Amino acid sequence: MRRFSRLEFGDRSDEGPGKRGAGEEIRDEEYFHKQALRYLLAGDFEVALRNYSRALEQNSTFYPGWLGQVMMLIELGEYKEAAVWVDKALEMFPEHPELLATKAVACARDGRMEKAIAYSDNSIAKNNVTSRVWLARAEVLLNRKSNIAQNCISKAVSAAAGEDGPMVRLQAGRLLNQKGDYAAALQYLRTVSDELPKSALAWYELGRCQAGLGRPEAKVSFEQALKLHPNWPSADEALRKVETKGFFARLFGR
Amino acid sequence: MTASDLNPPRMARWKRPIRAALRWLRLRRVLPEAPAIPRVQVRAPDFLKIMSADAFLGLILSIIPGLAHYVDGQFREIRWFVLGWLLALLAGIFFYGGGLGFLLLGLAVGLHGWIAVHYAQSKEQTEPLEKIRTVAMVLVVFAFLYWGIRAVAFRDFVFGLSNLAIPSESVQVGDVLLARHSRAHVDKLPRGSLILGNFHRLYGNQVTHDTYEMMGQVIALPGEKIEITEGRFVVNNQELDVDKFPVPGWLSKERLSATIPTDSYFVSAVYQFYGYGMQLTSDAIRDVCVLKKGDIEARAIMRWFPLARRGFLRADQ
Repeated sequence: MRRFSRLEFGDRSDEGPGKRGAGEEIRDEEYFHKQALRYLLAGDFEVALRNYSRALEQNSTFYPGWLGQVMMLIELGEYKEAAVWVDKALEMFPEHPELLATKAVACARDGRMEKAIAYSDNSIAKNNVTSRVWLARAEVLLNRKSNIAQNCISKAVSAAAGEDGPMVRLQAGRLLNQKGDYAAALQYLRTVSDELPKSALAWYELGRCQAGLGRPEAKVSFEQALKLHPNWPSADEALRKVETKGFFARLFGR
Repeated sequence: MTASDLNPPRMARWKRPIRAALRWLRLRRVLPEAPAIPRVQVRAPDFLKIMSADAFLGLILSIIPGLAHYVDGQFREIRWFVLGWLLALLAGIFFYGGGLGFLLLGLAVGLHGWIAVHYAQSKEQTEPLEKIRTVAMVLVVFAFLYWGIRAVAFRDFVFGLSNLAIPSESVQVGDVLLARHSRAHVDKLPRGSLILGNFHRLYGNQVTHDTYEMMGQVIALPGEKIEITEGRFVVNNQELDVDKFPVPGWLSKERLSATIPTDSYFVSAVYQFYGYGMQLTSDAIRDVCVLKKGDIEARAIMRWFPLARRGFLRADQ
């Protein structure tokens, strides 16, 4: 069974100490990790970060917790803090390729391309290169407008054929969206929205992609994202933009 | 591992636009990726280590009261203190010059300091000694800041004590007048203006180099002819209204006839001179009452104290 297929996307307010039932899961690092992933897929990176931290409070050597914290800091635009925190994680997991790759992403997004390339080179030179490392490589190279980036994305997707597949495809789609390659992003994000139908983030990214291509389905995707994550400001704004798009904007957007 | 070892550092909200701007510049290669000048590691003195860089920058932002809280989304916590500060400041300015004014301004400084310290302490300070040291440091800095702002923003303004009673202007002896330095105003003073000038002392009938600052009233303008007859000023053969241009007691029994040089004014004031009971000569009066433009410091614009008579003086007579 895939890790993400076990995720629950019910009412977000149903958690909390008062709701503990008899058959409730033990609140260990795995539990908080699952919660973090749930919020990540809902596009709520702040709460996801909090859950990663709580996972580490249960087990300070829990690697996904460290990686997740750094990734959430990057998602929240706190690149300097992410770089500081990845250094701390590297003290515990020295030379870990994924951590090095994540630092490369933090540097790239912070506009420090030389550092980003150096960390990416370092991460790719390790033995156990994962899909996350390839994705980071792709991001760094996309920033440098390199054509090799597409190959890196393909490698990332094929390396994540297992349970991480939907997540890697989602990240690939987001990355391509971010760089404005909507056509390439669409193929990944369509698959992801089928695989993770209850992920607001997947629908939101699909909507962005469709809006970028000037497709009317964007509105449905954003509405779906808002249905799954009500009052999500990013989706709300995107939907408003799509709805208020003028005739010429729609015409030239096609 | 402690909780602080497991929770990542977070970026203060106010840093977001600054970092975004720097990133934008780096991506466009306007700024180098690494600092062009090697970073010099300066070891901060121990007394400054009582607060983090975030708290310190928050203090700097709090020079505008509440700005750091506003940027950090915590303004609601201190909104009443900001309102209190504003009221204390405005009331302090209104009563400025008296004891109540200084008390209110002190309160404003205290509230301002507290708002800034609240931000710094909300960040990490918990130890009472640290709090006291921060409060003391901030209050001293803010007191200097207010003093500096006063010196810069109100450098053109000065207070003077009126020693003339001018019924038409509701000015009485002992009133505090607010005057403004302005070279342009001094060059074109209308008749009746109250001015703050540097006057020479008389010793007998001799003018000394010793000067003192005092309020006086402009009676005759450059080039005009002035006379004092029967306790009234006569300018260019026209008698002036004694309500508007009263003759001070020491001049009322004197006789004078003079033409004012083009770079001077005839200013009536309660002059100080040595030699009580001496008969002043016309030359001595002229020497002391004819004030060069360069000796005029400021022109009074307001009756400041007492409060009951606060108001602007008429610009022209």
